[in-house]
Amino acid sequence: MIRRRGRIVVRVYFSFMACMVLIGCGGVPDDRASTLRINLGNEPPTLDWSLATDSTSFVVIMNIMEGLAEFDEGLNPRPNMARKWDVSPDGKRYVFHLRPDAVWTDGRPVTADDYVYAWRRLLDPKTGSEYAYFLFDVEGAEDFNAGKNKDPESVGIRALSSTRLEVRLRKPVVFFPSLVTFPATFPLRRDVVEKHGDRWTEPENIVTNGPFSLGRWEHEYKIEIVPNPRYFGPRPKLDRVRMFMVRDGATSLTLYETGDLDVTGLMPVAIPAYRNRPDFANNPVLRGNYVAFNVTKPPFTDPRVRRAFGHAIDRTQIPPILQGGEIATTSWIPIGMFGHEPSIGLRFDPDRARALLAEAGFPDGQNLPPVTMVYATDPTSRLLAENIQAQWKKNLNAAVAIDNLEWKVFLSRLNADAPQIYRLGWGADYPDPDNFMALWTSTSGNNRTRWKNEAYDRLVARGTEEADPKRRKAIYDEAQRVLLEREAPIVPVYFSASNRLIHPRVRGFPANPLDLWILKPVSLEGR
Amino acid sequence: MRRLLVGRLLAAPLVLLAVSTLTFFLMRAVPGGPFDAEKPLPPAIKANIEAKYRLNDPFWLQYVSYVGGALRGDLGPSYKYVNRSVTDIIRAALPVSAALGALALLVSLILGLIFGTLAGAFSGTWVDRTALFLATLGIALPGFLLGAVVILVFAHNLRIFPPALWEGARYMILPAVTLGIGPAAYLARLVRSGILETMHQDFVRTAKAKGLHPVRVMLFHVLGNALTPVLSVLGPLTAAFVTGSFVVEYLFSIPGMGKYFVDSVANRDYPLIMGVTLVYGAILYAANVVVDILYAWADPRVGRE
Repeated sequence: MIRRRGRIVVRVYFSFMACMVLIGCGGVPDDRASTLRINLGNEPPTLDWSLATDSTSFVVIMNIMEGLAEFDEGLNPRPNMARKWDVSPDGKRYVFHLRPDAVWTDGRPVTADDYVYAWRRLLDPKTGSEYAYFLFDVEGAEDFNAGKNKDPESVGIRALSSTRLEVRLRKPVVFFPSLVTFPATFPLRRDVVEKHGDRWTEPENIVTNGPFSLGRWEHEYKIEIVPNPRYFGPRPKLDRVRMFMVRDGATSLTLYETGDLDVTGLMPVAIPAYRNRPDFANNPVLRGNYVAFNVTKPPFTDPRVRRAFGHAIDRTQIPPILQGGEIATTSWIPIGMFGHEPSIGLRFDPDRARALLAEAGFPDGQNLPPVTMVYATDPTSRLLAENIQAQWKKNLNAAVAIDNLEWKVFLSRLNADAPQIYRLGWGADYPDPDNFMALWTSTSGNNRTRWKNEAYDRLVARGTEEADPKRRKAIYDEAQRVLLEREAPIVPVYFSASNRLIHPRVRGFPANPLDLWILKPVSLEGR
Repeated sequence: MRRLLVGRLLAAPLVLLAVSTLTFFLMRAVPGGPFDAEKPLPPAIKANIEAKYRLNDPFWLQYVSYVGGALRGDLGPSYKYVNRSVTDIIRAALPVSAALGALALLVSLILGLIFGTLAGAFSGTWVDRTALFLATLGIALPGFLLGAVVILVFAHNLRIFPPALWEGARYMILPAVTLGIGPAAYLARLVRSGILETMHQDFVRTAKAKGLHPVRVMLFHVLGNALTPVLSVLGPLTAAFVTGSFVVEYLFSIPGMGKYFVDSVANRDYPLIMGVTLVYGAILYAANVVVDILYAWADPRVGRE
């Protein structure tokens, strides 16, 4: 009796499990010849361009949507959905003239009203958009976002006609055309968003205006985009792009090796093995990495101490340790961006460093209070922290303790009470020096160093308004000297780089400092 | 047995309430918030977002509102995956983990039974020692190492199986084996000790004395009784398998639920933490109840007790 029932239990159990297995199975697509297969790395947190803030989401969005302007090869904005734009003599009023032939994937024309709706939605406090501040230079935008003014009409954006969009700024912003290349400023269809609510970005609901459209989205697994037949420009050369979300770098590399991926990123540890292969590609990206001092905590209240610690770091040691193709730097505005000036910053000079430290009352590192550098737990930060710790010990005789915290705990600590020294990075949202320099102004939320300098604030404010490139460069040079050479609340260490393998059959895969994968010019060999 | 079933069903809501309460307050005690980022938000924007998700409300109000929603089947919005609800996320991921877990459980049971039976039947011989060695190895090897080894050998070098992804039955083999090996080793040890214990029972001696073939004695007299301890661990094992494994899903790029157990905490995605914990709790509880009932049904003595 017991045995018979036992056998029934076993049979039922195994049958149930077999059913579960079959439910989870699917078909294997066999369209490799016409499909580009790349690795996104992660699930895009959202494809709602009013809410997206991360590079994974942007890779998808930038291929299915286009904005008023786009970047050329030199990262200068050029007309795109706008045929052209007019700027008033005082630089505070823009009129964008939209292309009359641009339509959404459902055939309806893209109108100025779609921009007005999108921008008001971005700024609406109820939307809770993190990137609403992108439009804070638009008249009335900040007050509307803060709820001080509840009238959306008060925001300086208006449709003059279906193809003419007027934007009024509260001050001249010379890089405003760069801002309208950014996904947060892309148009939106009110009817679609209101009809489908949170599900409007699902493939069956979404309407877009870019060279590709969203074909399929299997959450946490893959996204497929296909050419948009209604796109106003030339049809993309790819029949399909399959974007997998493989998080493990080693797995992604194996999939590339077995022919299941055409493009993969490379983990630093794998770079030496692939560096000399023809399919290896490396390019610098607009991301600066720095060591920062909390200037309210001794001994870093004294700029001489901060400069001493800056002079004591030999940045050339860093790239060989990190192995990610990084570029050592003493300046802050990155390579590939207007305003980059490699001659600025504190050179490696151990003698000068020791002299400055002695001047500040700490000869040969004596009498220094306990100093701790904190970083977020990850292998790259650890390598960097250990190297810099050793350099400070060797060059200054300064014993610096290092400590690491889980990412969110680390950020929480920075925001509440930044440690004496911390390590962090900054990636460009748009390729203009303002995006890097405004970080260290007195009112910036990113400035956890507590450093405030009126002269620096004035220079950065002037930089946003100066239209003449030569004068603008001089302004940022001076601001960088204040920031990096005289005051040194931060010490830039290196610029990041992007490393990947691209299969030889892939032609024209983009490599740009913003690390944007614009896939419309990409083709596959033999197609 | 009916009383057992009624008792367990009545206790379920209390258990889940305790789990949700503990999780809710523990996760809020962890430093760092869902919207802390490398690029900190301007205060006005942060206030907008916190208002949108009602994070400004007192804790107790947030808790009451969460429990109210959960009772209606609404587990709230994910903070990380902006336009998706936790219910949608779990609905999409759970079947994948369940499918993989089911296969892994089959692997575990088959391997566990074979190795355990061989070790028990040939106790003290080289067969037993080899099986025990393999079982110890299976328990000791961490999933990430075993996964990397099977990918390297069977996908990268031999090209027998795909290294990762989730495109069909072939894609399930390596992750299922990786997931199933550890528990298989554990089950093998359980089966072995069960067999050794049963072998000395009177009814086995009688069967042998009647001149039955040793294989017949093992299969029809010993094994059935030796499996009782296995049934008792099937509950937690099934729950663990069905809700996915972070390591295996990460390594093989499988869109299952396991990753959320870690990611939701790293992102401080409070509703998702609550959602996956509650689902895991519910499945664990249900699996244990089912096992208890099966146990009682398969062995009526337990039901009477």
